[in-house]
Amino acid sequence: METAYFSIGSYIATLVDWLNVNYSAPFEMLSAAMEGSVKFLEMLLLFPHAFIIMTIFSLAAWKVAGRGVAGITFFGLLFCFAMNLWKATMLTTALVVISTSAALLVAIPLGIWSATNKTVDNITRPIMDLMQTMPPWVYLIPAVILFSLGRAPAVIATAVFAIPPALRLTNLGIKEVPSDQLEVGKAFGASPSQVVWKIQIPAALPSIMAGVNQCIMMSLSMVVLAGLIGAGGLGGEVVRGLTRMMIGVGVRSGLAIVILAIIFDRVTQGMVTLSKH
Amino acid sequence: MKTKIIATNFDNAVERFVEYISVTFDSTFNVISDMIEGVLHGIESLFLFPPFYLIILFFGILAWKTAGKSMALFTVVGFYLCHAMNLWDETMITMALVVTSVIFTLIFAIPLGVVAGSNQKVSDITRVLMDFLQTMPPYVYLIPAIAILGFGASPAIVSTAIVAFAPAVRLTSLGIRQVPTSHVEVGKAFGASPTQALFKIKLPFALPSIMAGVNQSLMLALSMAVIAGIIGAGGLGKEVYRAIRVLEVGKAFDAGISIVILAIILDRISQGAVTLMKKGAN
Repeated sequence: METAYFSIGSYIATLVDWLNVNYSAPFEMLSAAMEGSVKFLEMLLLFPHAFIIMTIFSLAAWKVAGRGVAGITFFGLLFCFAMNLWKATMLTTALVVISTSAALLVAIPLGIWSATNKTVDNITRPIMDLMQTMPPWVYLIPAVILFSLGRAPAVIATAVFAIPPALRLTNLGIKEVPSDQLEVGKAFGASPSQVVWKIQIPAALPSIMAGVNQCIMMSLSMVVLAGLIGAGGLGGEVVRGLTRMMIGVGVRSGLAIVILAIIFDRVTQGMVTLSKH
Repeated sequence: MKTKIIATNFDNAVERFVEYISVTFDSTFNVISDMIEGVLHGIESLFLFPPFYLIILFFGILAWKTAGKSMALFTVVGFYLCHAMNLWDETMITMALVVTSVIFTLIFAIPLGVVAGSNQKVSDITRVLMDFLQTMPPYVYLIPAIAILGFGASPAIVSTAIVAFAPAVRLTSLGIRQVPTSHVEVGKAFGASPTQALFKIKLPFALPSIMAGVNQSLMLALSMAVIAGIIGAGGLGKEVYRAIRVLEVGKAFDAGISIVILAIILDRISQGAVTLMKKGAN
Protein backbone atom coordinates (compact mmCIF):
# COMPACT_ATOMS: atom_id res chain seq x y z
CA MET A 1 0.00 0.00 0.00
CA GLU A 2 1.29 3.40 -0.96
CA THR A 3 0.45 6.56 0.90
CA ALA A 4 0.11 9.83 -0.92
CA TYR A 5 3.45 11.57 -1.22
CA PHE A 6 3.66 14.47 1.12
CA SER A 7 6.68 16.68 1.45
CA ILE A 8 7.16 19.28 4.17
CA GLY A 9 10.44 20.14 2.54
CA SER A 10 8.77 21.41 -0.63
CA TYR A 11 6.81 23.97 1.41
CA ILE A 12 9.98 25.05 3.13
CA ALA A 13 11.67 25.22 -0.26
CA THR A 14 8.93 27.57 -1.46
CA LEU A 15 9.36 29.69 1.64
CA VAL A 16 13.12 29.79 1.12
CA ASP A 17 12.68 30.77 -2.52
CA TRP A 18 10.36 33.56 -1.43
CA LEU A 19 12.89 34.71 1.19
CA ASN A 20 15.65 34.60 -1.38
CA VAL A 21 13.68 36.65 -3.86
CA ASN A 22 12.21 39.25 -1.52
CA TYR A 23 14.79 39.55 1.23
CA SER A 24 18.02 38.79 -0.56
CA ALA A 25 19.64 42.02 0.68
CA PRO A 26 19.92 41.17 4.41
CA PHE A 27 21.13 37.65 3.65
CA GLU A 28 23.70 38.96 1.23
CA MET A 29 24.83 41.51 3.79
CA LEU A 30 25.23 38.91 6.51
CA SER A 31 26.96 36.62 4.07
CA ALA A 32 29.34 39.38 2.96
CA ALA A 33 30.08 40.37 6.56
CA MET A 34 30.99 36.79 7.48
CA GLU A 35 32.99 36.23 4.32
CA GLY A 36 34.81 39.54 4.80
CA SER A 37 35.75 38.91 8.42
CA VAL A 38 37.00 35.39 7.67
CA LYS A 39 39.03 36.71 4.74
CA PHE A 40 40.50 39.51 6.86
CA LEU A 41 41.52 37.17 9.67
CA GLU A 42 42.89 34.67 7.20
CA MET A 43 45.05 37.39 5.63
CA LEU A 44 46.21 38.49 9.05
CA LEU A 45 47.28 34.92 9.86
CA LEU A 46 48.91 34.23 6.51
CA PHE A 47 50.68 37.55 5.98
CA PRO A 48 53.61 37.07 8.42
CA HIS A 49 55.95 34.15 8.00
CA ALA A 50 54.62 30.91 9.47
CA PHE A 51 57.33 30.83 12.15
CA ILE A 52 56.30 34.24 13.47
CA ILE A 53 52.71 33.04 13.89
CA MET A 54 53.91 29.82 15.54
CA THR A 55 55.98 31.83 18.02
CA ILE A 56 53.14 34.22 18.82
CA PHE A 57 50.69 31.35 19.40
CA SER A 58 53.15 29.40 21.55
CA LEU A 59 53.89 32.45 23.70
CA ALA A 60 50.17 33.05 24.15
CA ALA A 61 49.72 29.38 25.10
CA TRP A 62 52.59 29.72 27.61
CA LYS A 63 50.87 32.71 29.21
CA VAL A 64 47.51 31.06 29.69
CA ALA A 65 48.26 27.35 29.98
CA GLY A 66 51.89 26.79 30.93
CA ARG A 67 55.02 25.42 29.34
CA GLY A 68 53.70 21.99 28.35
CA VAL A 69 50.85 23.40 26.30
CA ALA A 70 53.24 25.93 24.72
CA GLY A 71 55.40 23.00 23.59
CA ILE A 72 52.37 21.14 22.19
CA THR A 73 51.32 24.30 20.36
CA PHE A 74 54.71 24.95 18.81
CA PHE A 75 55.43 21.41 17.66
CA GLY A 76 51.84 20.83 16.61
CA LEU A 77 51.84 23.90 14.39
CA LEU A 78 55.28 22.96 13.11
CA PHE A 79 53.82 19.60 12.09
CA CYS A 80 50.98 21.32 10.22
CA PHE A 81 53.54 23.52 8.48
CA ALA A 82 55.82 20.64 7.56
CA MET A 83 52.89 18.68 6.20
CA ASN A 84 52.20 21.44 3.69
CA LEU A 85 48.92 22.26 5.41
CA TRP A 86 49.76 25.70 6.79
CA LYS A 87 47.23 27.60 4.67
CA ALA A 88 44.46 25.11 5.37
CA THR A 89 45.24 25.15 9.11
CA MET A 90 45.13 28.95 9.26
CA LEU A 91 41.88 29.07 7.29
CA THR A 92 40.30 26.55 9.68
CA THR A 93 41.56 28.62 12.63
CA ALA A 94 40.05 31.76 11.12
CA LEU A 95 36.72 29.99 10.52
CA VAL A 96 36.64 28.69 14.12
CA VAL A 97 37.51 32.09 15.59
CA ILE A 98 34.91 33.99 13.57
CA SER A 99 32.11 31.50 14.15
CA THR A 100 32.88 31.14 17.85
CA SER A 101 32.85 34.93 18.22
CA ALA A 102 29.52 35.13 16.43
CA ALA A 103 28.11 32.35 18.63
CA LEU A 104 29.33 33.99 21.85
CA LEU A 105 27.94 37.34 20.78
CA VAL A 106 24.49 35.73 20.88
CA ALA A 107 25.00 33.12 23.59
CA ILE A 108 26.49 35.14 26.46
CA PRO A 109 23.92 38.00 26.52
CA LEU A 110 21.09 35.48 26.08
CA GLY A 111 22.58 33.30 28.82
CA ILE A 112 22.70 36.23 31.22
CA TRP A 113 19.21 37.33 30.29
CA SER A 114 17.75 33.83 30.68
CA ALA A 115 19.44 33.45 34.07
CA THR A 116 17.76 36.57 35.38
CA ASN A 117 14.40 36.26 33.66
CA LYS A 118 12.17 33.23 34.17
CA THR A 119 10.11 33.70 30.99
CA VAL A 120 13.18 33.90 28.77
CA ASP A 121 14.57 30.84 30.52
CA ASN A 122 11.38 28.89 29.83
CA ILE A 123 11.54 29.81 26.16
CA THR A 124 15.25 29.17 25.57
CA ARG A 125 15.49 25.88 27.47
CA PRO A 126 13.33 23.73 25.15
CA ILE A 127 14.93 25.37 22.11
CA MET A 128 18.40 24.49 23.41
CA ASP A 129 17.20 20.93 24.12
CA LEU A 130 16.00 20.58 20.55
CA MET A 131 19.16 22.14 19.13
CA GLN A 132 21.37 19.74 21.04
CA THR A 133 19.33 16.76 19.88
CA MET A 134 19.84 17.60 16.22
CA PRO A 135 22.84 16.04 14.49
CA PRO A 136 25.31 18.68 13.23
CA TRP A 137 24.74 17.88 9.60
CA VAL A 138 21.18 19.13 9.74
CA TYR A 139 22.39 22.69 10.35
CA LEU A 140 24.16 22.75 7.01
CA ILE A 141 21.00 22.28 4.95
CA PRO A 142 19.22 25.60 5.61
CA ALA A 143 22.57 27.42 5.65
CA VAL A 144 23.49 26.15 2.20
CA ILE A 145 20.09 26.97 0.83
CA LEU A 146 19.99 30.50 2.21
CA PHE A 147 23.65 31.39 1.70
CA SER A 148 24.70 28.99 -1.08
CA LEU A 149 28.04 27.18 -0.93
CA GLY A 150 31.29 28.45 0.53
CA ARG A 151 32.54 30.01 3.73
CA ALA A 152 29.55 32.16 4.71
CA PRO A 153 27.08 29.26 5.21
CA ALA A 154 29.81 27.32 7.01
CA VAL A 155 30.39 30.14 9.50
CA ILE A 156 26.68 30.75 10.04
CA ALA A 157 25.77 27.08 10.49
CA THR A 158 28.73 26.63 12.84
CA ALA A 159 27.82 29.67 14.90
CA VAL A 160 24.22 28.49 15.34
CA PHE A 161 25.39 24.96 16.16
CA ALA A 162 27.83 26.20 18.82
CA ILE A 163 25.38 28.44 20.71
CA PRO A 164 23.75 25.91 23.13
CA PRO A 165 26.72 24.93 25.36
CA ALA A 166 27.87 28.53 25.76
CA LEU A 167 24.35 29.70 26.55
CA ARG A 168 23.72 26.91 29.04
CA LEU A 169 26.99 27.36 30.90
CA THR A 170 26.61 31.14 31.06
CA ASN A 171 23.10 30.67 32.42
CA LEU A 172 24.36 28.13 34.97
CA GLY A 173 27.25 30.35 36.04
CA ILE A 174 25.06 33.39 36.60
CA LYS A 175 22.48 31.35 38.51
CA GLU A 176 25.15 29.93 40.80
CA VAL A 177 26.39 33.35 41.95
CA PRO A 178 25.74 33.28 45.72
CA SER A 179 22.80 35.51 46.55
CA ASP A 180 24.59 37.06 49.55
CA GLN A 181 27.09 38.62 47.14
CA LEU A 182 24.22 40.18 45.21
CA GLU A 183 22.65 41.40 48.43
CA VAL A 184 25.92 43.00 49.53
CA GLY A 185 26.21 44.71 46.14
CA LYS A 186 22.65 46.04 46.38
CA ALA A 187 23.14 47.10 49.98
CA PHE A 188 26.10 49.22 48.91
CA GLY A 189 23.92 50.83 46.27
CA ALA A 190 25.03 49.09 43.09
CA SER A 191 22.80 49.76 40.08
CA PRO A 192 21.40 46.71 38.23
CA SER A 193 23.99 47.09 35.44
CA GLN A 194 26.76 47.36 38.03
CA VAL A 195 25.48 44.18 39.67
CA VAL A 196 25.69 42.39 36.31
CA TRP A 197 29.09 43.71 35.26
CA LYS A 198 30.93 43.87 38.58
CA ILE A 199 29.44 40.97 40.55
CA GLN A 200 27.61 38.42 38.42
CA ILE A 201 29.90 38.21 35.39
CA PRO A 202 33.18 38.07 37.35
CA ALA A 203 31.76 35.39 39.65
CA ALA A 204 30.38 33.41 36.71
CA LEU A 205 33.57 33.73 34.65
CA PRO A 206 34.91 30.17 35.17
CA SER A 207 31.58 28.71 34.05
CA ILE A 208 31.38 31.12 31.10
CA MET A 209 34.91 30.17 30.08
CA ALA A 210 33.99 26.47 30.26
CA GLY A 211 31.17 27.35 27.87
CA VAL A 212 33.65 29.09 25.57
CA ASN A 213 35.81 25.96 25.58
CA GLN A 214 32.85 23.75 24.60
CA CYS A 215 31.77 26.29 22.03
CA ILE A 216 35.21 26.26 20.38
CA MET A 217 35.39 22.46 20.31
CA MET A 218 31.94 22.22 18.71
CA SER A 219 32.86 24.93 16.23
CA LEU A 220 35.95 23.03 15.21
CA SER A 221 34.06 19.79 14.61
CA MET A 222 31.44 21.66 12.59
CA VAL A 223 33.94 23.70 10.57
CA VAL A 224 35.61 20.47 9.60
CA LEU A 225 32.29 19.00 8.57
CA ALA A 226 31.61 22.15 6.57
CA GLY A 227 34.38 21.07 4.24
CA LEU A 228 31.52 19.20 2.58
CA ILE A 229 29.87 22.44 1.52
CA GLY A 230 33.04 23.99 0.19
CA ALA A 231 34.28 25.92 3.21
CA GLY A 232 37.84 24.79 2.45
CA GLY A 233 40.53 24.49 5.09
CA LEU A 234 41.40 21.21 6.74
CA GLY A 235 37.84 19.93 6.36
CA GLY A 236 38.07 20.50 2.63
CA GLU A 237 41.32 18.50 2.55
CA VAL A 238 39.66 15.61 4.43
CA VAL A 239 36.77 15.59 1.99
CA ARG A 240 39.24 15.60 -0.90
CA GLY A 241 41.06 12.68 0.68
CA LEU A 242 37.85 10.74 1.38
CA THR A 243 36.14 11.25 -1.94
CA ARG A 244 39.16 10.71 -4.18
CA MET A 245 40.53 7.77 -2.23
CA MET A 246 43.73 9.65 -1.39
CA ILE A 247 44.26 8.08 2.00
CA GLY A 248 47.54 9.93 2.54
CA VAL A 249 45.90 13.34 2.20
CA GLY A 250 43.06 12.25 4.45
CA VAL A 251 45.37 10.97 7.19
CA ARG A 252 47.62 14.03 6.98
CA SER A 253 44.81 16.52 7.31
CA GLY A 254 43.05 14.32 9.88
CA LEU A 255 46.17 14.47 12.06
CA ALA A 256 46.34 18.24 11.61
CA ILE A 257 42.72 18.50 12.78
CA VAL A 258 43.44 16.40 15.85
CA ILE A 259 46.45 18.58 16.67
CA LEU A 260 44.43 21.75 16.21
CA ALA A 261 41.68 20.31 18.43
CA ILE A 262 44.17 19.46 21.18
CA ILE A 263 45.74 22.94 21.01
CA PHE A 264 42.37 24.71 21.16
CA ASP A 265 41.17 22.48 23.99
CA ARG A 266 44.26 22.78 26.19
CA VAL A 267 44.63 26.53 25.69
CA THR A 268 41.00 27.29 26.50
CA GLN A 269 41.07 24.90 29.45
CA GLY A 270 44.07 26.83 30.68
CA MET A 271 41.92 29.96 30.42
CA VAL A 272 39.21 28.28 32.52
CA THR A 273 41.76 27.51 35.24
CA LEU A 274 43.18 31.04 35.06
CA SER A 275 39.73 32.59 35.44
CA LYS A 276 39.16 30.60 38.64
CA HIS A 277 41.93 32.49 40.43
CA MET B 1 58.74 24.53 -1.58
CA LYS B 2 60.33 21.91 0.66
CA THR B 3 57.24 21.16 2.71
CA LYS B 4 55.53 19.84 -0.40
CA ILE B 5 58.20 17.14 -0.71
CA ILE B 6 57.76 16.16 2.96
CA ALA B 7 54.01 15.97 2.44
CA THR B 8 54.31 13.83 -0.68
CA ASN B 9 56.70 11.47 1.08
CA PHE B 10 54.29 11.24 3.99
CA ASP B 11 51.38 10.47 1.67
CA ASN B 12 53.37 7.75 -0.07
CA ALA B 13 54.45 6.22 3.21
CA VAL B 14 50.85 6.17 4.49
CA GLU B 15 49.58 4.65 1.29
CA ARG B 16 52.26 1.96 1.34
CA PHE B 17 51.55 1.22 4.99
CA VAL B 18 47.80 0.94 4.41
CA GLU B 19 48.39 -1.25 1.40
CA TYR B 20 50.73 -3.47 3.41
CA ILE B 21 48.21 -3.80 6.22
CA SER B 22 45.26 -4.47 3.96
CA VAL B 23 47.20 -7.04 1.90
CA THR B 24 48.70 -8.84 4.89
CA PHE B 25 45.56 -8.94 6.99
CA ASP B 26 43.21 -9.15 4.06
CA SER B 27 41.39 -12.25 5.23
CA THR B 28 41.05 -11.00 8.81
CA PHE B 29 39.56 -7.72 7.71
CA ASN B 30 37.28 -9.48 5.28
CA VAL B 31 35.96 -11.66 8.06
CA ILE B 32 35.43 -8.66 10.35
CA SER B 33 33.81 -6.67 7.58
CA ASP B 34 31.53 -9.57 6.59
CA MET B 35 30.54 -10.14 10.19
CA ILE B 36 29.65 -6.48 10.73
CA GLU B 37 27.70 -6.31 7.52
CA GLY B 38 25.92 -9.55 8.40
CA VAL B 39 24.71 -8.13 11.71
CA LEU B 40 23.71 -4.90 9.98
CA HIS B 41 21.69 -6.70 7.31
CA GLY B 42 19.98 -8.79 9.95
CA ILE B 43 18.90 -5.73 11.89
CA GLU B 44 18.04 -3.84 8.72
CA SER B 45 15.66 -6.54 7.54
CA LEU B 46 14.16 -6.63 11.02
CA PHE B 47 13.13 -3.00 10.48
CA LEU B 48 12.39 -3.18 6.78
CA PHE B 49 10.63 -6.52 6.41
CA PRO B 50 7.47 -5.90 8.46
CA PRO B 51 4.98 -3.43 6.98
CA PHE B 52 5.67 0.10 8.12
CA TYR B 53 2.57 0.42 10.29
CA LEU B 54 3.66 -2.50 12.46
CA ILE B 55 7.00 -0.80 13.11
CA ILE B 56 5.23 2.47 13.86
CA LEU B 57 2.88 0.66 16.22
CA PHE B 58 5.79 -1.06 17.96
CA PHE B 59 7.72 2.17 18.51
CA GLY B 60 4.54 3.98 19.53
CA ILE B 61 3.93 1.43 22.27
CA LEU B 62 7.58 1.52 23.30
CA ALA B 63 7.42 5.31 23.56
CA TRP B 64 4.19 5.08 25.57
CA LYS B 65 5.74 2.65 28.05
CA THR B 66 8.94 4.65 28.50
CA ALA B 67 8.14 8.28 27.85
CA GLY B 68 4.41 8.76 28.19
CA LYS B 69 1.38 9.47 26.08
CA SER B 70 2.45 12.64 24.29
CA MET B 71 5.75 11.10 23.23
CA ALA B 72 3.87 8.08 21.88
CA LEU B 73 1.75 10.43 19.78
CA PHE B 74 4.88 12.22 18.56
CA THR B 75 6.49 8.91 17.62
CA VAL B 76 3.50 7.74 15.62
CA VAL B 77 3.02 11.05 13.82
CA GLY B 78 6.75 11.54 13.28
CA PHE B 79 7.34 8.10 11.82
CA TYR B 80 4.22 8.38 9.72
CA LEU B 81 5.61 11.65 8.36
CA CYS B 82 8.89 9.92 7.45
CA HIS B 83 6.84 7.37 5.54
CA ALA B 84 4.73 10.03 3.86
CA MET B 85 7.84 11.87 2.74
CA ASN B 86 8.93 8.71 0.94
CA LEU B 87 11.89 8.29 3.24
CA TRP B 88 10.78 5.22 5.19
CA ASP B 89 13.50 2.90 3.91
CA GLU B 90 16.21 5.50 4.47
CA THR B 91 14.97 6.19 7.99
CA MET B 92 14.98 2.50 8.85
CA ILE B 93 18.45 2.00 7.32
CA THR B 94 19.80 4.86 9.42
CA MET B 95 18.13 3.41 12.49
CA ALA B 96 19.67 0.01 11.73
CA LEU B 97 23.11 1.64 11.37
CA VAL B 98 22.68 3.38 14.72
CA VAL B 99 21.44 0.27 16.51
CA THR B 100 24.17 -1.95 15.07
CA SER B 101 26.93 0.49 15.99
CA VAL B 102 25.60 0.96 19.49
CA ILE B 103 25.42 -2.82 19.98
CA PHE B 104 29.08 -3.16 18.97
CA THR B 105 30.00 -0.22 21.20
CA LEU B 106 28.22 -1.65 24.22
CA ILE B 107 29.79 -5.10 23.78
CA PHE B 108 33.19 -3.49 24.37
CA ALA B 109 32.30 -0.43 26.43
CA ILE B 110 30.28 -2.01 29.26
CA PRO B 111 32.90 -4.59 30.28
CA LEU B 112 35.62 -1.94 30.03
CA GLY B 113 33.51 0.43 32.10
CA VAL B 114 32.92 -2.25 34.74
CA VAL B 115 36.66 -2.93 35.00
CA ALA B 116 37.44 0.79 35.08
CA GLY B 117 34.83 1.23 37.80
CA SER B 118 36.52 -1.27 40.09
CA ASN B 119 40.21 -0.79 39.24
CA GLN B 120 41.89 2.58 39.75
CA LYS B 121 44.78 1.93 37.34
CA VAL B 122 42.54 0.89 34.46
CA SER B 123 40.34 3.87 35.25
CA ASP B 124 43.28 6.29 34.96
CA ILE B 125 44.32 4.85 31.61
CA THR B 126 40.81 4.77 30.15
CA ARG B 127 40.15 8.33 31.32
CA VAL B 128 43.11 9.65 29.30
CA LEU B 129 42.06 7.56 26.29
CA MET B 130 38.45 8.74 26.50
CA ASP B 131 39.56 12.38 26.81
CA PHE B 132 41.54 11.91 23.64
CA LEU B 133 38.64 10.18 21.85
CA GLN B 134 36.28 12.99 22.77
CA THR B 135 38.64 15.80 21.75
CA MET B 136 38.82 14.64 18.15
CA PRO B 137 36.14 15.83 15.74
CA PRO B 138 34.04 12.74 14.86
CA TYR B 139 34.69 13.13 11.18
CA VAL B 140 38.34 12.13 11.63
CA TYR B 141 37.42 8.55 12.52
CA LEU B 142 36.22 7.89 9.01
CA ILE B 143 39.75 8.07 7.62
CA PRO B 144 41.43 5.07 9.28
CA ALA B 145 38.22 3.06 8.98
CA ILE B 146 38.11 3.58 5.23
CA ALA B 147 41.83 2.99 4.91
CA ILE B 148 41.47 -0.43 6.45
CA LEU B 149 37.97 -1.58 5.52
CA GLY B 150 37.35 0.26 2.25
CA PHE B 151 34.12 2.06 1.38
CA GLY B 152 30.66 0.91 2.43
CA ALA B 153 28.72 0.07 5.53
CA SER B 154 31.33 -1.65 7.68
CA PRO B 155 33.80 1.29 7.98
CA ALA B 156 30.77 3.48 8.73
CA ILE B 157 29.75 1.17 11.57
CA VAL B 158 33.28 0.87 12.95
CA SER B 159 33.82 4.64 13.04
CA THR B 160 30.34 5.23 14.45
CA ALA B 161 30.97 2.67 17.17
CA ILE B 162 34.25 4.42 18.08
CA VAL B 163 32.56 7.81 18.27
CA ALA B 164 29.86 6.42 20.52
CA PHE B 165 32.34 4.58 22.74
CA ALA B 166 33.44 7.20 25.26
CA PRO B 167 30.16 8.12 27.00
CA ALA B 168 29.19 4.46 27.45
CA VAL B 169 32.49 3.65 29.16
CA ARG B 170 32.44 6.78 31.31
CA LEU B 171 28.90 6.38 32.56
CA THR B 172 29.22 2.64 33.19
CA SER B 173 32.32 3.22 35.29
CA LEU B 174 30.59 6.08 37.10
CA GLY B 175 27.59 3.87 37.84
CA ILE B 176 29.75 1.05 39.21
CA ARG B 177 31.65 3.51 41.40
CA GLN B 178 28.45 4.90 42.85
CA VAL B 179 27.22 1.57 44.19
CA PRO B 180 27.20 2.08 47.99
CA THR B 181 29.90 -0.09 49.58
CA SER B 182 27.45 -1.15 52.26
CA HIS B 183 25.41 -3.02 49.62
CA VAL B 184 28.47 -4.88 48.37
CA GLU B 185 29.51 -5.64 51.95
CA VAL B 186 26.11 -7.11 52.75
CA GLY B 187 26.37 -9.28 49.65
CA LYS B 188 29.79 -10.51 50.67
CA ALA B 189 28.65 -11.14 54.23
CA PHE B 190 25.92 -13.41 52.86
CA GLY B 191 28.54 -15.28 50.87
CA ALA B 192 28.08 -13.84 47.37
CA SER B 193 30.89 -14.75 44.98
CA PRO B 194 32.57 -11.85 43.09
CA THR B 195 30.54 -12.68 39.95
CA GLN B 196 27.34 -12.76 41.96
CA ALA B 197 28.26 -9.43 43.56
CA LEU B 198 28.82 -7.99 40.08
CA PHE B 199 25.70 -9.32 38.36
CA LYS B 200 23.23 -9.23 41.22
CA ILE B 201 24.32 -6.13 43.14
CA LYS B 202 26.59 -3.81 41.21
CA LEU B 203 25.12 -4.00 37.70
CA PRO B 204 21.47 -3.65 38.74
CA PHE B 205 22.42 -0.68 40.89
CA ALA B 206 24.45 0.94 38.12
CA LEU B 207 21.74 0.37 35.51
CA PRO B 208 20.31 3.91 35.42
CA SER B 209 23.77 5.34 34.88
CA ILE B 210 24.57 2.73 32.21
CA MET B 211 21.32 3.58 30.44
CA ALA B 212 22.25 7.27 30.53
CA GLY B 213 25.45 6.21 28.78
CA VAL B 214 23.41 4.29 26.21
CA ASN B 215 21.34 7.41 25.59
CA GLN B 216 24.45 9.51 24.95
CA SER B 217 25.92 6.79 22.74
CA LEU B 218 22.73 6.61 20.70
CA MET B 219 22.77 10.35 20.07
CA LEU B 220 26.45 10.41 19.08
CA ALA B 221 25.94 7.35 16.90
CA LEU B 222 23.05 9.00 15.10
CA SER B 223 25.06 12.11 14.28
CA MET B 224 27.93 9.97 13.05
CA ALA B 225 25.72 7.56 11.08
CA VAL B 226 24.39 10.56 9.20
CA ILE B 227 27.88 11.85 8.44
CA ALA B 228 28.90 8.39 7.32
CA GLY B 229 26.48 8.81 4.43
CA ILE B 230 29.35 10.35 2.46
CA ILE B 231 31.33 7.12 2.52
CA GLY B 232 28.46 5.11 1.19
CA ALA B 233 26.75 4.01 4.39
CA GLY B 234 23.33 4.73 2.90
CA GLY B 235 20.27 5.92 4.73
CA LEU B 236 19.26 9.49 5.48
CA GLY B 237 22.83 10.79 5.48
CA LYS B 238 23.35 9.67 1.91
CA GLU B 239 20.05 11.25 0.92
CA VAL B 240 21.03 14.62 2.47
CA TYR B 241 24.42 14.51 0.79
CA ARG B 242 22.87 13.67 -2.57
CA ALA B 243 20.10 16.26 -2.32
CA ILE B 244 22.49 19.04 -1.30
CA ARG B 245 24.83 18.31 -4.18
CA VAL B 246 22.10 18.41 -6.81
CA LEU B 247 20.35 21.28 -4.96
CA GLU B 248 17.04 19.51 -4.45
CA VAL B 249 16.07 21.89 -1.67
CA GLY B 250 12.80 20.20 -0.76
CA LYS B 251 14.28 16.73 -0.58
CA ALA B 252 17.21 17.92 1.52
CA PHE B 253 14.80 19.47 4.01
CA ASP B 254 12.68 16.31 4.04
CA ALA B 255 15.70 14.19 4.88
CA GLY B 256 16.84 16.73 7.48
CA ILE B 257 13.40 16.70 9.11
CA SER B 258 13.44 12.90 9.19
CA ILE B 259 16.83 12.96 10.92
CA VAL B 260 15.52 15.36 13.55
CA ILE B 261 12.41 13.23 14.09
CA LEU B 262 14.55 10.11 14.49
CA ALA B 263 16.88 11.95 16.88
CA ILE B 264 14.02 13.16 19.06
CA ILE B 265 12.38 9.71 19.17
CA LEU B 266 15.62 7.87 20.05
CA ASP B 267 16.53 10.50 22.64
CA ARG B 268 13.20 10.64 24.43
CA ILE B 269 12.65 6.87 24.46
CA SER B 270 16.10 6.16 25.90
CA GLN B 271 15.78 9.03 28.38
CA GLY B 272 12.41 7.65 29.39
CA ALA B 273 14.10 4.31 30.02
CA VAL B 274 16.63 6.03 32.29
CA THR B 275 13.86 7.63 34.33
CA LEU B 276 11.97 4.33 34.56
CA MET B 277 15.09 2.58 35.84
CA LYS B 278 15.74 5.27 38.42
CA LYS B 279 12.23 4.78 39.72
CA GLY B 280 12.79 1.04 39.74
CA ALA B 281 16.04 1.43 41.65
CA ASN B 282 14.45 3.39 44.48
